[in-house]
Amino acid sequence: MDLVHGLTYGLAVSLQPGNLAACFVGVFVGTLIGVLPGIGPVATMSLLLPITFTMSPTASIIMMAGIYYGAMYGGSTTSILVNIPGEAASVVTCIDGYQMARQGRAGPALGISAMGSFIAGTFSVVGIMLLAPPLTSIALRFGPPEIFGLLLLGFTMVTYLTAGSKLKAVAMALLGLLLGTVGLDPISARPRFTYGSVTLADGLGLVPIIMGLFGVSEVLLNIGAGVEQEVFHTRIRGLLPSREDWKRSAGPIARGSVLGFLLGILPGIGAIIPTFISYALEKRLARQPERFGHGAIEGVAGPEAANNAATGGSMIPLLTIGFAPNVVMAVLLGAFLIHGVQPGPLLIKEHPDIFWGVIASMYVGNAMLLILNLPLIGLWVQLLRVPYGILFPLILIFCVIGVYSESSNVWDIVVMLAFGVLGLLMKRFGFEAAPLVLAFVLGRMAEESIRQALIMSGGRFSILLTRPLATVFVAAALIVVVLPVALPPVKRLLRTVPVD
Amino acid sequence: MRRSPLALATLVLLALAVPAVAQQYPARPVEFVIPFAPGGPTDTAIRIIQPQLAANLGAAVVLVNKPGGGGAVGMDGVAKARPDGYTLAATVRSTLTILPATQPDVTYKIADFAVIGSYAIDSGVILVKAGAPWKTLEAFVEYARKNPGTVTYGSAGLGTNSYFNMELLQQAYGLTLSHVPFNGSGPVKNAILGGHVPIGAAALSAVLSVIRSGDIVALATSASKRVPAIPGTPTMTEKGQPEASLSTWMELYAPARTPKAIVDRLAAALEKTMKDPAVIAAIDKAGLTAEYHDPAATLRLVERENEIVVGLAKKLNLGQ
Repeated sequence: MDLVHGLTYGLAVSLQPGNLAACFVGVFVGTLIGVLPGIGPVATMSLLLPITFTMSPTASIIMMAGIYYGAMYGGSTTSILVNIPGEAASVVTCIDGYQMARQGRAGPALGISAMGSFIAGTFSVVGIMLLAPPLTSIALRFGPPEIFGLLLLGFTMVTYLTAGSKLKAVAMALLGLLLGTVGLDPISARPRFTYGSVTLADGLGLVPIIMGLFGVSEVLLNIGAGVEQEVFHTRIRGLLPSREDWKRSAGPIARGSVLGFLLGILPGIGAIIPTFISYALEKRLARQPERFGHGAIEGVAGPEAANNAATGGSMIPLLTIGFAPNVVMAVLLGAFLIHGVQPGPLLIKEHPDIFWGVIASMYVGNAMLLILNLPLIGLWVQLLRVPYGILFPLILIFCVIGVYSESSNVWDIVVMLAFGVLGLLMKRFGFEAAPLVLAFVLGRMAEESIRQALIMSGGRFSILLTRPLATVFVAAALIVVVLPVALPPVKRLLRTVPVD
Repeated sequence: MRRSPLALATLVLLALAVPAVAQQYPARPVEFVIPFAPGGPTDTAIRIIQPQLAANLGAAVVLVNKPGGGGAVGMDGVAKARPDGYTLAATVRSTLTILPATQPDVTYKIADFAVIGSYAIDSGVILVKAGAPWKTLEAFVEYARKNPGTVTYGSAGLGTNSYFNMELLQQAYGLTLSHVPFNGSGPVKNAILGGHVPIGAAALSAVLSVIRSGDIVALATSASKRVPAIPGTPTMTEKGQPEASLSTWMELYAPARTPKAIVDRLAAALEKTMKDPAVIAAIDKAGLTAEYHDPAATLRLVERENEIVVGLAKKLNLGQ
């Protein structure tokens, strides 16, 4: 079945009333849980899994996938309006999105993230269709040394994640690395810093940390600062991005889409890391990097495109080799298995209705989301007018529910509250949370992959230099770190070339 | 003397009360704790039998994912739960055998649980990439014997069946392989497909699609009989090594002091569920094998596996 044939067939499948309804329910529920902080797609999808028993396999996968990419649309809303990531992958959007909202530009921020998400989402669907088989074999070449090289490159981005002191950013990154060592040693499985607690054996959870650092701390900060709701009384003009906004965002959306899609394919990356890298990249490329952290629309457009494209990218390993590259895909894999469908190389042949139906439904779903979100922007902005005294306790409740629903573990709520207090102190003293979160995410994976690589090579670091892909990443990381330091004249030259 | 009628009455009441509890059970929804995140085989298996189990039990069955500590957090919670039959565990056997044997922080033991029964198996498989120089387990063993210490293998992590299966293999055939632990069966599959490790072990459900597509070859399974999904793959029992491999058994447990009548009621519901051809077909479709054992038989199997695991863990100096 060729592409056009496959796609028209898929569209026919996805436009069947039942499947269309499943798609709508999926993206609607997804947007909703995306907006609500803490409650993420994993918890929602697993709760809805039993409902899919009575549905056809195609409809259930369409609905489940819709929840995932729908959540990516919704997640940005809360980030922009209240500086709390509605979904973990929208952490970076807080940095500039919230500043835009403070400047009365919540509308354009929401508009650009919805449209950027639509463009990226559509791009990634086209990408899945065209590139699924060849990209899978490339993804397979990412063994431990390659993954370590990629993560090393990721680490060099840390200092771009701050508008303030680079030293403080590095300090936070180191703290993030240390926090990442809590739990079982990834190789020998010996407990580290667990103090005899089995709960700590898996380490600290990413969701409680993010919810604490960004969500709870924001609530605490506002209680401490007293209610200053100045933004909320000014009229929000121009819900749609201006021509100037589009000009600034076009590049970031394009780069974010490609970056998110490609990184999303890689195992273990998920939708969060691409947003960090996209943000760092845009800041690096910007003519006035100092605007970042103070409401730069590029810092919203790029990461929001990246996380949406990553959801598409992460479907590739699932659909083509039956491998779940992250937890969300693991739940989706479960949904496949419950219907007795094994995703993998045979999926296109054995279940063309599912393969093409799901892909086509993602076109349909992305269009639905755009239609759903643009008119709703007005409604979301109304959220700004809810008095803090009501909004913040509600947010706190949602954070608690969300964190608990992730693991049914009270301990995670304690972790979230502790990181809320830490986040408050960090905000008070000008330390930013994004470098900490990035280092926390990358650290554990980096440790695991370098140690796996060293076992593979019998303890020789040369394995990083004998495998071409790994070498490219390590070299790129070295260049990013060393070049600006070792060659200040070059740097000066590069800085003076662009206009203004 | 004056007290004796009262004492007698109390005794009679008590005697009546015990069956009464069992008769009323289940009076409200029964909660099964799944000690893993959603999406894995343990989660899939219990969700497959959930509707039938609920019907046979006459009460709603609520599934709660409580991941953490490789399953220890959820199991610890059930071990300490009120033994009233309303908080139960839907887990895999290794959380009672491998986990306590390898993790010093895990304090519960088999005796802290009452067995309800086992209902499905996810077979362990030993895997090589298609086109690898070894078509049989024997050929690989011969190669590994000639190259001691230089051959690596991938497992789903130190506390998993796949690791124990590869260590048991080495013990049975006198091999020395280097262990590269990955984070789950999926990543092992990836590493084998990508050629990053020449051999590895994983759970069948995670690799069935690539075995069927011919990208990965299974050299042996841990099951006692040939697995219907991959009938061409020999078992370790056929190789004369029945105790050199472990399977992932899906099992249900209650806290230790749960009244026997309640455990029996649960076991009966599970047994009835596992006689339903539709349930068996659904389990097989998911790449698992349906196989029911009653509480007594399950306990014997658990204890035998525990001896093997504890012995090996001691030899490998784990869990110190």
